[in-house]
Amino acid sequence: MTSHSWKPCLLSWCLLAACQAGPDEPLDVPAGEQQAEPEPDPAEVSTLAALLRARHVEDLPSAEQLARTPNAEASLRWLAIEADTMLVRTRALALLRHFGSPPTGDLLAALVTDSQAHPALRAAALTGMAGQPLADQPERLELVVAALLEGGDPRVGVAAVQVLDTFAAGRKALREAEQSDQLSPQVRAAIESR
Amino acid sequence: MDLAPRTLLVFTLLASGCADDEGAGDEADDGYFVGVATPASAYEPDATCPADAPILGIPDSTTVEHIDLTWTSNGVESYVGDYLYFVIPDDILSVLVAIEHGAEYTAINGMAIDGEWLVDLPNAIGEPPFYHWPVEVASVTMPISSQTVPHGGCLALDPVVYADVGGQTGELHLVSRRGPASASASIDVNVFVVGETVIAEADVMAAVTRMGEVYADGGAATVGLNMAISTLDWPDPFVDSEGAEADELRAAAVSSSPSAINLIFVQDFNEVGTLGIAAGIPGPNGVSGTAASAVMVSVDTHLDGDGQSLLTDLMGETLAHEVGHQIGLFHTTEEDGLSHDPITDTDECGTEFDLDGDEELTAEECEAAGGRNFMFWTSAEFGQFEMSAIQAMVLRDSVISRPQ
Repeated sequence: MTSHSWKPCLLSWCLLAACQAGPDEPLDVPAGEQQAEPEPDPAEVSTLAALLRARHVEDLPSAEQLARTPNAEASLRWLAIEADTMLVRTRALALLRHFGSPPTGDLLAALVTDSQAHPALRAAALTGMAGQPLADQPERLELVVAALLEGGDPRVGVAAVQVLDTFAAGRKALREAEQSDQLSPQVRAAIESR
Repeated sequence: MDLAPRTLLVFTLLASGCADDEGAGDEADDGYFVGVATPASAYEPDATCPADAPILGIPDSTTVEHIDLTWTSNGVESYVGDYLYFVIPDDILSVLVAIEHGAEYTAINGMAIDGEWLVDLPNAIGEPPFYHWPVEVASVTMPISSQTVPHGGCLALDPVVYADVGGQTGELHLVSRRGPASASASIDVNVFVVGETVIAEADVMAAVTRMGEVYADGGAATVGLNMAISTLDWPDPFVDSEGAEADELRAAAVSSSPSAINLIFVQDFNEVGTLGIAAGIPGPNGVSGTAASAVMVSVDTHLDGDGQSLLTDLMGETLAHEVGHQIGLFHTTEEDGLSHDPITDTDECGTEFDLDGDEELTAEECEAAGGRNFMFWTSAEFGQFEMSAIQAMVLRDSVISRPQ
């Protein structure tokens, strides 16, 4: 699958199928057996996209500001897949950390494990996973630990460190990973600088 | 046109990462820095300079002067014994003052011309006209608006370090540009590509060209007539946008042309979704090798959504915006529509433009009221290339520009 083709597949998969699945259910449920999620409001998506184009990350919408937006989570998911700039896609993914719903978790997990996706997107998806109940989701936790250990682009591993450092089971995973010789120097440095 | 305190703090955080400065005894309980009770601050500066006060600069040229400062400490902060006085000649066009002590937080605790306060941190921290605040390399420049055009007189300075560095030596950098204002100017550029960052030279050129279009069309300056592109040896193309690594990277960006603006291209920042960052409003322009002597920009954040193509127009507008900060320009309008820059001829987009009532003003909502200005707080799909006459004057007359 090329990087051009995965995006619409992921979108339809997320919006129509697996995003309705619970966190421990299989992700490849046929679309027809799921209820479709309502389409995001175009006006809201447009406004949110405009806010995500802030010059400085300090000016991005806060959790409180997002809470005032009726369908912010769905809109962010849409932008995370459909926006035409890396700027908006990565910021939308990272802001999904303020939401912990299963559809969001499914979207983020799919990106984290998509080896064809740009590393910046995978790192942003890992950042977004900070809002997921990973301590109660061993399979998802495994995905994050795998990202930590995979080598390659250090952004992915460093983002995994930051997510794992937010909860006890994650910190335990980091301590165990520290013994591994698979860690890249950047990821090891990120662990040690916590 | 006052800037709200929150906005000012954001400016400072944006430029310096001061939130990480743990242990400093110089922060008020609410996290805000406060001015320092130095011996000099106990009295008003003289309106007339002492006879032996040095004269700034050389006629018809830009001059950079470095003066060693020996600090005295009160155990928490450090300062010099008295005001430092300099004669500003009548042909001054622009001036920049910067205080440096490694990566320690510094500030110009007090600054006055002819006894009239311009910066007075003990009594008015972060307030107009300069909104000055402690940062790594504290810098104040004139002009940043039509109200801050420098004039001949007696400059008094009270520099401080927010650390116990008694007996150690810091530096005062003074950059002065003397001569008449010119109708046109140019800004030279040093480009540093960090480590293994992947970007084609043609894309660097395209981005700088786009920035140049913004500046030239606005009447500010021609950008990059003299441009040097080099690789900066660095262990990693992914770097922190603030903190020690950013400080060290900016300090390493030294070239044979210190009078040019330094642009550092990194593959990406470790902080997701960061476009670029100036090192201050302003940075210590004309002074290279300090923790604040460059603008940094991410390559990957400027890619298209699939990560396939570099959006060089967007990158050029980021460069224009961040260099605007580095030279001394603020956002024309902040997100709430309540805070605006100190420039009198930039459009102000107020809350009446908040059509959807979400208390945040997008460039689209403000399209007819400054949303196309290159210093608006968000980027925009429709491009931002507008510049007011006073913004252009600030850029054209800055110490980093040269007459053309």
